[in-house]
Amino acid sequence: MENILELNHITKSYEDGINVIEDLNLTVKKGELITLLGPSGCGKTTLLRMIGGFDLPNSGEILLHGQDIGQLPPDKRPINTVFQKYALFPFLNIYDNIAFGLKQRKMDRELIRQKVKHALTVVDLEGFEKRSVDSLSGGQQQRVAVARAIVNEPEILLLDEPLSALDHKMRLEMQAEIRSMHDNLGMTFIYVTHDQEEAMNLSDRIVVMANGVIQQEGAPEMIYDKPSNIFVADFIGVSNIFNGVVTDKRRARFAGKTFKTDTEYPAGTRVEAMIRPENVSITPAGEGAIDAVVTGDIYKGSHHEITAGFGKYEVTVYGKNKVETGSTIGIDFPREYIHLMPHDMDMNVFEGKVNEDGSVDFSYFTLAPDAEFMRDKTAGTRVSVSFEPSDADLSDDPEAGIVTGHIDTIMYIGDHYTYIVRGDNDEEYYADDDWLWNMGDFVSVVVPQDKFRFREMP
Amino acid sequence: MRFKRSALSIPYVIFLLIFVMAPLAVVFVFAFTNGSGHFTFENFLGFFRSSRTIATLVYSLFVALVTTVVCLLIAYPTAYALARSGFKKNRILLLLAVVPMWINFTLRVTALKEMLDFVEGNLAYYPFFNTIVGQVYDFLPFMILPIFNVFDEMDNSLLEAGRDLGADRKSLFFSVILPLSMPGIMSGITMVFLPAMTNYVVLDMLYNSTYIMGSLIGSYFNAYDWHNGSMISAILLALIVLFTLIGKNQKSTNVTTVSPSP
Repeated sequence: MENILELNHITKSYEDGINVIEDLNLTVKKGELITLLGPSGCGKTTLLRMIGGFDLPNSGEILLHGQDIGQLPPDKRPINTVFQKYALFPFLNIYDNIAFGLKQRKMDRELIRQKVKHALTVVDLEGFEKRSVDSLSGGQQQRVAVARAIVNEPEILLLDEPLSALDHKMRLEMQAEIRSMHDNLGMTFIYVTHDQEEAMNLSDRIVVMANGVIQQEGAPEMIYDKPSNIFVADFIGVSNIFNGVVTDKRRARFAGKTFKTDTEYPAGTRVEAMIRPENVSITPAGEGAIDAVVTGDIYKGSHHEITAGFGKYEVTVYGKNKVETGSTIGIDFPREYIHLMPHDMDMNVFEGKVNEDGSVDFSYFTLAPDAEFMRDKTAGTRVSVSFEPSDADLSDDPEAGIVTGHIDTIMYIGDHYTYIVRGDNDEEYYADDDWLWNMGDFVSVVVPQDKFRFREMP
Repeated sequence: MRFKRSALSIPYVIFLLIFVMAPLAVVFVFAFTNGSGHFTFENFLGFFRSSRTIATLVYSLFVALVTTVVCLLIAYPTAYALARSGFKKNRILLLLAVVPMWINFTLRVTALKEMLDFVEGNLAYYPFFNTIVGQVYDFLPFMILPIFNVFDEMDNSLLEAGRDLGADRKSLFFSVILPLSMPGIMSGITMVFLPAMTNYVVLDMLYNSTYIMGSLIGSYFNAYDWHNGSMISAILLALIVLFTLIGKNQKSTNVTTVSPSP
């Protein structure tokens, strides 16, 4: 399929200097329904606003059919938007709201009438022409907002969390309608949501974003079955994640056992292993790879959500039958369902310069490496430091650690939580901790002095 | 006896009776009676028969209209700049525009008189100009405030929707911003136009010979002619009711705001 939109090296930062989007590349194919998915503050709405022309990128280009439209105002782009809170004009009736865009183009009155009528048919609101905006329910206003955008026959339709104000049942209905509207119109839709279920239901392709960076893009099945990192694995659906290491080309050791795997990595590669709860098999005690004690069983209608513990690990399993809390079951991880994600080695790496007094300034914190390392270093020498998330801990005493920040992301990894702590300057620290903290908690990151690895930089 | 919640309204009802209903009743009684206390339409007929009083009415309407238009022309861009310039201290600027209202207006008008006198040499040279200057000076904050409020609360996404649907800057103003600010304009007009027809004290203080409806009431009352003075008041009251009804119709189509149900 032909590419309709290309985003090349888009960077966007706001006045306070914090980057919202960093060097982002994305290609949208003509006629597809692509979803930008991520937690709030991940940059998905900013990205959509740049495509619509409401924000301009600081650098990079936005190509529509190969033409750079990145600096054009919204009215010069053949793109229309369905706004989060609909943004219908309260002083116009439904007909005039939908006709607004066509009137701006000085289109013939009769033609406008036909097009508006057709648009109302598409959104299933025939006969609503004379109604006022505030006489409509939320769902109806939503439909008018869609009609007002599609009546202009844009090249691309942008939808900014259009269903977030609707109740759950209504949202499911509208998801199905938006999907069938897309299929009937053959228009390109770019859809923004923080609801992973919604993204799964709607999309041809999902782009998972976090912290202004695309984490993964692909078909919903692909994102679900083969997440590229622990963030995606944790954000999409329910998952069991364990830290591990590849012991042989097709073997990995995690959760205290060695498992056969389908994917091949060189021995010694550090990985995170993921398996979805519905893919974990339950066997009679003693017959699986692991024996685990059931700690909970919640009936979910279509399945039982069973949590079970073994050693220091916990695993979530979906089973057909009820199991007694406290009983022992056997569990197994079938090789075809074990998904290995290479460990991200870029965590917790910082660059700094040696000070006059022999300490090293890493911009956000200052460390004093041991005398052995500092022996031949003069002031100004560039030095990097790194530490393992597993060596870092969190504390609520701001004086206890090297830096302070707020908890930004929480990921459950088998027997512990991995946290991303965001410092005052938007920098990230990864730390593992056994205790459950809350999103937004103010913490300090504690790293024992002997766990820092210093390196001189060329 | 059990306490009834409706008893809470008693003080308010008494207040209304004494300070609103009773004076109005007195005005109407005087307007429809003659010196010997007999019911008559003569006062009103006299008003509409006299070309002098009719001319005063027309002239008052004209003065009020010019005052309102000048106020609107000054207040609209001012309110827009105050509310939407993105200037962080805009509340302070608004305060500066409104602060004169806190000073007793006779003081303000006296100061204005001295300035006009200094600039013009003699206040009698430009009576109409001075009238408008005095009125606009007095009423401007009443026009700025409601318009500022609509701009301040204006939903940015509506403006973005306008641009998104193909409106350039100019078209956005006429097809989105102006209609959205209509409620503010309407309340500004009601707050300026009607008082401007009667506020003769400002004109008196400017030693002005300009005669408006308020001056008429004043001169009748000064001559102890309660009947004709009340008659003029009744006519103004009728005008107020008329304009309010028109304004209300306007508002019902304009004041509505979208509030998507959650």
